[in-house]
Amino acid sequence: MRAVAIIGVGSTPFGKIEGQGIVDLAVSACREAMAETPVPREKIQAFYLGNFVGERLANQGSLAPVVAGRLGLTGIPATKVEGACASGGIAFRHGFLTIALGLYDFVLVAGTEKMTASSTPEVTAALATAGDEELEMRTGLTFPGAFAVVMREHMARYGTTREQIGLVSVKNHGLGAQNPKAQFRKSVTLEEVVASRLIADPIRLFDCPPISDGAAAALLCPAEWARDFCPKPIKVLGSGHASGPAALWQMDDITSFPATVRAAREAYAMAGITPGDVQVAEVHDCFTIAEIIATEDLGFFPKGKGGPAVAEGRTGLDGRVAVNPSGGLIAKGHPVGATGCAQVYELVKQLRGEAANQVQNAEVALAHNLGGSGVVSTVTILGRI
Amino acid sequence: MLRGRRCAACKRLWLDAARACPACGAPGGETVQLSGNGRLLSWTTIRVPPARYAAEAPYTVGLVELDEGFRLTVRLTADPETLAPGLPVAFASQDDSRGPIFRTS
Repeated sequence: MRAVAIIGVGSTPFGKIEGQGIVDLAVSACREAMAETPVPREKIQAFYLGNFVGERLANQGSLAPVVAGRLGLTGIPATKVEGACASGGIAFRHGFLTIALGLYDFVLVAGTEKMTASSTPEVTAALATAGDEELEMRTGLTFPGAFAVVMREHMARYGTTREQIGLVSVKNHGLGAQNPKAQFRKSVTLEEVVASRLIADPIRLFDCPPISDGAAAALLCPAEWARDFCPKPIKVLGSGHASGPAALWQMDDITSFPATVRAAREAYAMAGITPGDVQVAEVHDCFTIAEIIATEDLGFFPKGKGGPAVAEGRTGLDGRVAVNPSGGLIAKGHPVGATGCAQVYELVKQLRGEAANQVQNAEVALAHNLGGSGVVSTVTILGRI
Repeated sequence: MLRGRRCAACKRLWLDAARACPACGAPGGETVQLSGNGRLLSWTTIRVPPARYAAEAPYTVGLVELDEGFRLTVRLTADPETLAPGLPVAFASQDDSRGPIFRTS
């Protein structure tokens, strides 16, 4: 396989973005990524676009070729990738693979979503399609509900406390407050988190990400050419992608997601590193408890120790591994199909030394994207060239 | 009554509606009557429902383990204040839209 590098990234701000549709958002992020390099548009050979609920909420199919057309890229293969909230991570993975395997040299990848024009019940129902409708979601379970079932079990089994879980929200809102791209620019206190409105007991409003609009993009090429097109190229050290059970009842242990564990194993092996080598990570905190489980499944902390690690500051900006310096999904926002590419955007900025919440001397970074309650996951490991 | 299916290939037991075995993918198998009795593992009360169940919230969904040794996610008719891990639960009725409905027993 050929080594692959990222030579340009772009991201819209996340939030309620008035006057921009799902295509506009994608085009804006892609233009920013393309403008970072002197690569002429004619050199781009393929486009992969992550999107989850655009057909349902934004009435737009054929999304990838439509966006490619607005970018002046009509003619190249343009493919929408759907894997629930991991759609963006999978789109990135496909761009990486096509270059690594020698099929293409320049590939544009992106993720986009437009959600704020829909009502909360419509969004809740659209997101619930990530589950197994026939065998689980028809009960009326929602994704906050699924992670609430998981949170209760994690607390019962490992003694993880409400306060430890709430501190994920406090940390991520504090970081989001300093990130100009973030939807929430305001810190919250632990008291506010544990007193916020119940969404699906025991998950409360500040345990959840907001409903968001946004898009992010990256331009990839073989690593050996990267310096010709970018002063600070970032190398893809490892990539993993795996599926898992769609329903909670199919899992022997609902406090761990096998898709994350498997994707991480693949990515670590490809990169030739261990979890201890990672200094900064963007993980899929679709709920506060999901960040704690991700830090355990990724091997940063032993099983059941993710809660104490947050309380001890080991996931803070100057902790053992800085987790979600962007503010994560909870504070930066979660335009679901865009999230995987937005994680890559943040980590490229970190490795270039250009991040809003800069982790000092970051050399190895990890992005973890999760769909549903573990039905799919991608793990991407990045490093300086 | 609640019916299960024992996989012809790997012999694992699943809810009848699973059709092909969710563990090994094999089709077929033998239909078996289930006791409908089990215990509660974890649960949530849904306060922000999907659009189709908007009129029913709040309602409770539980993850239960049947006495036969496999798990189900079910709508649970119970006062959420009385729920605890390990609480005995039982099959109450089959709902065409929502699947099996359980109650505390």
